[in-house]
Amino acid sequence: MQLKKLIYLVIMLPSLAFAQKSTISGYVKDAGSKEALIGASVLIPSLKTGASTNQYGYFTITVPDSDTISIVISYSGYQPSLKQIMSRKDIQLDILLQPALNSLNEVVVNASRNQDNVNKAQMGVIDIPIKAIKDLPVLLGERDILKTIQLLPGVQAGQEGTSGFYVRGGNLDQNLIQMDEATVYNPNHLFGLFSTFNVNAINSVKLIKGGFPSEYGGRLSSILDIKMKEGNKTKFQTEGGIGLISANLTFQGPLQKNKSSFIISGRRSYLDQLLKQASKTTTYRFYDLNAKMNYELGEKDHVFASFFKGNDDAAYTGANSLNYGTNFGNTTATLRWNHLYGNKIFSNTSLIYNDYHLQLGTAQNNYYQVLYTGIKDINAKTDFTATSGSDHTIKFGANYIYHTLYPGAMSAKMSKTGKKVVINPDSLTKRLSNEGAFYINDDYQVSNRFSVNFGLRVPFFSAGTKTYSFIEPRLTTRFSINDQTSIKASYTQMNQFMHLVPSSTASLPADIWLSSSLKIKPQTSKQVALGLFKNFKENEIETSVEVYYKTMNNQVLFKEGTQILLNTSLDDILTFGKGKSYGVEFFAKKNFGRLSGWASYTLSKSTQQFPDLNFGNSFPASFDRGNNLSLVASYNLTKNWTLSADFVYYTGRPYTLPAGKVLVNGDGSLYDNYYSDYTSRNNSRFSAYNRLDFSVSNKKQVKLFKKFAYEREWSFGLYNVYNRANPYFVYLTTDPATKQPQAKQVSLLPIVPSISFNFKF
Amino acid sequence: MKQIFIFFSVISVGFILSCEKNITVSPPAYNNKVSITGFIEPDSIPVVYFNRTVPYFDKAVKKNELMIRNALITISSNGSTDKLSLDSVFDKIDCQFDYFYNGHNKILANTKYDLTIISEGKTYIANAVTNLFAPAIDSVSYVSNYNDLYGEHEGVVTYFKDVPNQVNYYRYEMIRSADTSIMKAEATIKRACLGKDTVTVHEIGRAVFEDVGKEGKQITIIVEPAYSHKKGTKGRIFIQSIDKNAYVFFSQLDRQKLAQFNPFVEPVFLQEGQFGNKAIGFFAAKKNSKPITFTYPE
Repeated sequence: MQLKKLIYLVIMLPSLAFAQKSTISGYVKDAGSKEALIGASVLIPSLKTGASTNQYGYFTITVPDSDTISIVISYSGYQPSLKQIMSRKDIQLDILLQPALNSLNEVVVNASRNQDNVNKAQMGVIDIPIKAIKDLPVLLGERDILKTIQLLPGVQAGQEGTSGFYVRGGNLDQNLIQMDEATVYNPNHLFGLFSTFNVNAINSVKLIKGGFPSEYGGRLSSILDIKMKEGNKTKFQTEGGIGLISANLTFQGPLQKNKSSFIISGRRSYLDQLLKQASKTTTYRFYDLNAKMNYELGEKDHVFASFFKGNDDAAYTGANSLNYGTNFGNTTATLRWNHLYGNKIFSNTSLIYNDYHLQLGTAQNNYYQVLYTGIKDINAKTDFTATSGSDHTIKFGANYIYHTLYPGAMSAKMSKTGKKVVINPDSLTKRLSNEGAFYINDDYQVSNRFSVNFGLRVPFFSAGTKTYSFIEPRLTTRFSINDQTSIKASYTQMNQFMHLVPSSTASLPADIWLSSSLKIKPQTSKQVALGLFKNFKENEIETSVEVYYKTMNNQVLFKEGTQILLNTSLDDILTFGKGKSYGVEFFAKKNFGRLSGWASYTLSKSTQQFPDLNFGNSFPASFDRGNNLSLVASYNLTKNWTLSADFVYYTGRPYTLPAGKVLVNGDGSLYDNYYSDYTSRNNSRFSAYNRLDFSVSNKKQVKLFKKFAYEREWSFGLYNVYNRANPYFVYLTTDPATKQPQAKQVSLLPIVPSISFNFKF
Repeated sequence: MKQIFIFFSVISVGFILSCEKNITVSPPAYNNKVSITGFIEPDSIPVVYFNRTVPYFDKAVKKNELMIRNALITISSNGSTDKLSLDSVFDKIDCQFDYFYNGHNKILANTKYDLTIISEGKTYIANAVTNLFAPAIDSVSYVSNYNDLYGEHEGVVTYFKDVPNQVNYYRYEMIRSADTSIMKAEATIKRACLGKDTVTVHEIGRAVFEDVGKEGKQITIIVEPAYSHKKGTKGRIFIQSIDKNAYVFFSQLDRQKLAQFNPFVEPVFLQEGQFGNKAIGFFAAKKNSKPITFTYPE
C-alpha cells in the first residue's frame, strides 16, 4: 500500500503545480453491445486538445476548470456524439456510440473525425478497421487479418498466398504478434494460406512498425496488437459464416446485463471430409477457438479471461515431388485485471500462458526435412497509464516471461522404403530462459504545435549463465505546420531474444525458433524515421510519406550447406551477421464515403552481410522486394451491394543461381560431370508478382419464414482474376541426355473463385 | 445449393495443386575462369586437367569445348622441370574424349613440386609436397542397407588404420572392370560407345574424411557404389591419403552437391583456394594405400 501511495505521488506531483484543473475520464463503448471501442477519438475543439481511448476503451483528459466545455466523441463506423459538461471537478463519463446506420447516408461531423495520424506524436502506427478486413476480397472466402496487413506500406508479403509478412526489412520473427497480450508464434493456418485469427472474434487490430512506444519490446520490426471482442453485455447475439473450406460460428451475450459478458467463437475446416472421397493422400484440417469473458467488479475494477486455441493437421502430396505433413498449433490464455487509481491512473495487470508447437515433415526431390519447434511461455506483466497535468500521459510498467523451448530438426535423403522420421518432443533438450523488461514513457504535449513521446525500456534476458541487458531509448516528435499537416521524426532502439532461423532455400516455412544463448546473441536494431502527414477534405483523406533507415545486428542464418541431423547442436550451425534496410513509404487512405480504401507504395532496399556468407559481401535479403504497390478499394454500390477489389505488385524476391559451371574430369560420375560456381548470393530474382482480386457482396436484413429477422450476406470472390502464374519457387535440374541445366518455376495459386455466406442475428 | 457448394469446394482444392513450367532465367553475369585439377603421386606420371569454366546456362557442355589447348604447363622440383603435353583418352562410358596434360617424369617422394600454367597471358602457380603416408586397409565388408546423409543405400565398408602423429585426409577409390550391364547409381548411362567391350572404371567416394578424433585409430567408411554391380563382381579398393588442399576442395564439392539435391539446405559457394580468384581447383599430393580385393556378395 505504501508503494502504491508513493507511485501515485510521484506521478501526480507535476499536476499539483497546476491545481486549477480537472480530469475527464471514462470509457467509450458501443451503445448496443457495450463493447469497448479501442482508439475512439475524444476531442475538445475549443481547447484543441483530446485523447484516444486505450486498448480497454478508457480515456483521460485533464482540462483547465471552466463553466462548460463541449466534447466530441467519434469512432469510425459510428455516429459521433457531442457532450457538454461542466468541468469544475473531476468527471467520469461512460460514452455510448451508436453505429452509423449505413455508410451511404453517413452523417459525419467532419471536425470530429479522428486525426491522430496528424496530431499524435506517433509514427508507423496503423489501425486497421475490422470493416475493411471484412470487405476485402479473400482467398477461398476466408477473411484474413494478415492478408490485409500485407497491403499496408512498409509491409512485404511472404510466399505466394501465405500470410507471413516482413516489415521494413525485418525477418518474419521480428514481428511480435499478440492476441490479448499473448504471443502467437505461428499465426498461420494450413500452408500459411490463412491466418489463425477469426475476424468475427476480433475487436481491433493495430500495426506498429516504427517509433515504438517503450511499452512495446522484444521484437525488432513490428508489433501486431490484436484484441479480442469482449462480448455483448446487453443481449445475446449469434453470427456465423460458411465458406468453401470452413464454417464459423460466434455466440456472445451477457452473463449479467451491463456488467459481465462472454463471447465464444469457433471455426473449423471441413475440406478433410470432402477430400475423403477424392484423395487418400491429402488431408486438410484446421480449427480455431476463441473464448472470452469479462466482469465489471465495480467502477474501478474490471477483470477479463480470454482463451485461444488454433490447430492444424495436414498432409499434402502434390505435384513437383512436393510432400508436406504438419501438425501445429497455438494455445493461449490470458487473465487480466484493470484497475483505476482515482481517475488518473489506469492499470492493467495480466497473467499470460502460451503453448506453441510445430511438427513439420516436408519432402522434395527425394530429400526430406523434419523439424519440431515447441515453445511454452509464462508471462506476467503490469502496466500503468497516468495523466499528469494537462500535457503529460505517462506510462510505466514491467513484465517477466519464463520461456521453455524445444527445438529439433533433421534433413536427409529419403529412405528407399519411404519410412518417415518423426521427432519425439520428449527427447529434445529443453532450453530454458528468462526475459523481462521495465519501461517508462511520457507523451508530452509541449504546445499545440509541438509534442514529444519519449521513453526508456530496459530489457533483460538470461539463459544458463549468460545474461544480457540493454537500455532502449525511444523518441518520437511531432511538429504541426497547421491543423491538417505535421512533420514527425522518430528514433528507436530494439532488442530481440527469440529468433526464428530461416532456411532461405526452403520453399516451405521450415523454420526453427531458438532463444538467445552464449553463442546466439540478441538481435538489435536502430531505426530512424521522418514523415510528413497531411489530411485533406476535413480528414476524409489521410496521406503520409515516411522515410526510414534501419540497421540490425546479430541476424541469424544457417551456414552454407548445413546438413541438420537430430544430434546436431543447432547453436553450432548458425552464422551471424548484420542487416540494413531503408526506404520510402507513400500512403493515401480514404476513410469515409461510398468509396473507401487506400493506396500504398513502398520503395525499399534490404540487405544483409555475414562474414561467412557470400564471401563476406553484402547481399539482398531473401525477402527484399524493391517496389511494393497495393491498391485497395471498396465501393458501396447501393445500400445492399458492395464491390471490393485489390491489386498488388511486388518486385520478385531474390534467390541464388549458380553463375558458372565447371567440368569435372576423370571421376565425373560423382557430380553429374559438372559442379557450380556461385559468385553471389541472391543474385537473381523471381519474375514480378502481381495479382488482382475482386469480390462482390450483398448484405441485407431478411426474415426467415416471415418471422425470424436476421442479417445475411452473400459474398462472391475471385482471387487472381487474370490467372497470373506467379512464382512460388524456382529450382534447377539438368537434362540427363543433353547435360543442359534447366530452370523450373512452380506456381501455386491460379484464379480461385470463392463464395461464402454470413449471417447475424 | 449443396451441389453448388461441393462443386466450388472441389474446384478450389484442385486449384491449390500447383503447376510447374520451364522458365528462362536471366543468368547472372559471369567472368569466365579456368579450372585446374592435378594430383601428383610418387612413382606416377603427373596429370593435370585444365579447362575453362562457362556461364551456368552456356550451351558448351562437351569436354572438347571446355578444355584449354596451347597452355604451357610445367611441374618443377629441385631444378628439374617437366613440361606436360596435351593428351586424351576415349571415355567409353561418357562417350567422349577426356583431355588432360600429361607429364613425362615420375614423381618423387618427399619432394616439393611447383606447378606453373601459362595460358592466354595469365599465369597460375601452386605447389604440393609428396610427403604423405598411405594408411593400411584392415578389411572390407558389405552392407545392403545403410542410412546416412546420402539416404538409405548399400555400401562397401572399409576399415583402415589412421596414420598416427599427423593430420590426415582420406578418400575412397575402387577400380574394377565394368561391362554393358553397368548403370550409374542414379541414372542410366549411355552405352552406345561401350558396345560389347569392358572398361575400367574408377569409383571414387564423393565424401572425404578428416582424422579428427580418430588419431591413430581404426577408421570405418561406408561408400555407396557409383555403378551397379552383380553378385561376384570384383574390385580393388584403395584408400587415398590426400593433402589438405585436395580435402578442402572435395569437401566443398560434396557439400555443394548435397545442397543442390536437398532443397532445404543453403547453397555452398566454392571458396578461393591455391589459385586465388584466378582459377578454381587444386594442385595436390596423394598417396594410395595398398589395394585390397573385394567381391560383391550380391
